Amino acid sequence: MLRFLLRCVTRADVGVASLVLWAAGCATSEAAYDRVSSSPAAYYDEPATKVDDGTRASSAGTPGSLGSAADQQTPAPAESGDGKGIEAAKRLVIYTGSMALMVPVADVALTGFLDKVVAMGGYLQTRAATTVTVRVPAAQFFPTLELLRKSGTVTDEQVNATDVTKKVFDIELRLQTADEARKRLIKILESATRIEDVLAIEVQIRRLTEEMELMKGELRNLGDQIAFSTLTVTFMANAPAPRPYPDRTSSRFEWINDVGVEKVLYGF
Amino acid sequence: MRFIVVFVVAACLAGCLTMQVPERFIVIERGPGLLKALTPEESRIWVRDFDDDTQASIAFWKDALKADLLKNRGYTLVKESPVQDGAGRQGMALTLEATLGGRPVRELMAVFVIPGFLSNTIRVAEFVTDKEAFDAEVAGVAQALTTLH
Repeated sequence: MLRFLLRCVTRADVGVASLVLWAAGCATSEAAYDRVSSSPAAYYDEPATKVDDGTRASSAGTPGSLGSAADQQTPAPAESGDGKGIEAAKRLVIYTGSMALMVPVADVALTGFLDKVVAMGGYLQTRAATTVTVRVPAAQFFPTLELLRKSGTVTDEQVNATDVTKKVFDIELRLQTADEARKRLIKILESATRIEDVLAIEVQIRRLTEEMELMKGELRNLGDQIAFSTLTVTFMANAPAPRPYPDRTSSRFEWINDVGVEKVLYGF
Repeated sequence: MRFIVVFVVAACLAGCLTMQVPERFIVIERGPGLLKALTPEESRIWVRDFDDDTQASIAFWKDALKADLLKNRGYTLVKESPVQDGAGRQGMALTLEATLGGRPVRELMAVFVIPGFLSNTIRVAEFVTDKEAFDAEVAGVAQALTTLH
């Protein structure tokens, strides 16, 4: 009996110990995963809401680093609440969108919209008739869409989100590597005595410098796109023309084919 | 003979659609499952009944209509709202817009489902006119729908 109990206890202990070990292992690996997965985000994103003064990333950012551009990116989609916003804020996302709106008076609506864009720190990029392309701070992108939805009848809406976290991370790594290589070459250059060596090293330094400038430019460009979302809005006083007949299909519900604006106008 | 005439008139009266059309409209045609009315500017009200063997719900027809009118035909949905007819039936109303021949035209389309034993009746009331006239008349038409029998 005693031997039986001992065996049971031993088995239970082994089971508990296994469970503890398994849980510890899981926790460790999850923690490790968190560290790895969050490291790029943590690298780029310190205070996500730090800068919101309307300063453009391209002029505010330190060359060669996303710096304040990354800080400015806070898309904070209106749809994401309950903690998902934190996850979204860790990503470097470029938001672009377009919207077609039916409003009572197109020009008046357009002017009012531009005023609001400027007030929120954005700016007009292009304007053609009653279509405007504006840049708005990323944090204002979804609120701006919401504002537009309330100001008229939306006839078309498209939103694109491009995650460039990995791309930015890669460029910064390449930039860092190139910078280190360049520094090494400069040290070698200082101690080089032969003219051929000096010339060869200078060629390499020039090549690396050019590459670095390109990468810095790309980072600045990405930073600008992250910090300021691009939104194209078309204001229309009237609805567009319906789709021409060759592009339409007949409804399988017969009666539906017999109703509608054109049927009433031409078949009354 | 007199009996037959009386019977036909009674049957028609029983099946004919009735609606107190807005002030500026006159009824130009009335029949079983049919009513047409016009203003002097030819704003149109057209009410029709369609048989529905499928006996689908109003929610189904709302989705089917929106799929066809908006996605297939390219009309613009301006407004969507519930509506009630003279018998107290709950229906749905869509306000649509499209530009035809260079002029913006609006439609108020109200749809009701009248349940039947073997098949339902779908009653569709449409008010179509130029955008400006629409805005002036739509409130009266919406009111008239509440008298539709």
